[in-house]
Amino acid sequence: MKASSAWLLITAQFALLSLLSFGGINTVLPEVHRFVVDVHGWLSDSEFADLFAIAQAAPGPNFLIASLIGWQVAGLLGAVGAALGICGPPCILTFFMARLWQRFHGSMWRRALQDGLAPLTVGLVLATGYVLSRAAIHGWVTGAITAATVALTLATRVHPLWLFAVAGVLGIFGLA
Amino acid sequence: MKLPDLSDVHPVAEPPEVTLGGLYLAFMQVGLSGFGGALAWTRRKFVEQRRWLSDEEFAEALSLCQFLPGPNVINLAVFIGLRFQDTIGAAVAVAGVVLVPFVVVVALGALYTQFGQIEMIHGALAGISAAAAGLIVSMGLKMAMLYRKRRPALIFGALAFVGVGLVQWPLPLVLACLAPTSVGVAWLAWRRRR
Repeated sequence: MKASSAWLLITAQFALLSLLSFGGINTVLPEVHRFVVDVHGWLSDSEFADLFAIAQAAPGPNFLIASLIGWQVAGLLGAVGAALGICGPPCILTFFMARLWQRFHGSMWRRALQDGLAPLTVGLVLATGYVLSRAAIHGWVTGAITAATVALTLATRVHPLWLFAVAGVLGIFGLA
Repeated sequence: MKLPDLSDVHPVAEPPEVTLGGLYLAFMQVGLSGFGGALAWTRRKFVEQRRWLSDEEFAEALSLCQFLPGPNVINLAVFIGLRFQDTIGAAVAVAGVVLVPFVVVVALGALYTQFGQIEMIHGALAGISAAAAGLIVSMGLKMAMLYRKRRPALIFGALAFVGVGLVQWPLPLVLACLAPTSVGVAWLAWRRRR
């Protein structure tokens, strides 16, 4: 089932999806799931869910879930290919767009774009927070963890890793 | 390429001196602390700790990066790297955010293949996910503070939140509706001010 060309398929698939992943990898995850679980049967449903949780909790950007999937499907080659696929095309696109953007600093249309788009960005960040909260909160303990993290990071300068450590320990004792 | 004149919008637009090594290190730290997504950590590192970017500059960078496809933190690395050290800066920043975290995450993946069945691990993951969600919410609230006195901005931000978060319409659809309207309103506001 795990054909030797699997890493090529995975790389190509992520490269394609990378250009559709507006707002980050989470927006194309349903499509990744369809491809990896339903079409090719490389992973089971629960394996996919576990990899998602690992990517969320691991010390690394979330898009590395692509590499976790690549790893499970086709080993090291799959992991590297998936990372290149998900990062490569957006990198190149952003590179050219950023230069264009800098060149028009101070122009009217750029200010308008900036002033118009930035508030939407804030809305999208909060939407991500909301969606993640809904997925992560299973009861009053996890709810309290989320609420405490919001309150403490807003009101104090505590390093968030401490909060993560406490949250992880609560989880280990079966409270979360 | 030398960056063109940046002086006329932000008074402190001249970028601070940031070495390639500093850039790599900062982005590696961002990458490695990307629990629950690296975005909140990028803002914390560059705006709150190093003060290499102002609040407004970060919001501006992020808004461009969010409207391009791809992982936001990768796009931000390209954008910020480019700003401080041109093309090499962009490459170094991306390498910083990817390389070490890649090794760590793949190692965790390998461990998972071995020990994925253990209940404690699921518990820890559940607790950390809840805290990670809170971190993103708090980042969004901090960013929203920038716009607290601009009513149109608050309205469009709220609409984006409702569309993508509460109703969960597809992101491209929501943006296709809101972005032109919001930019149009901003354009009119600029015209009137001038």
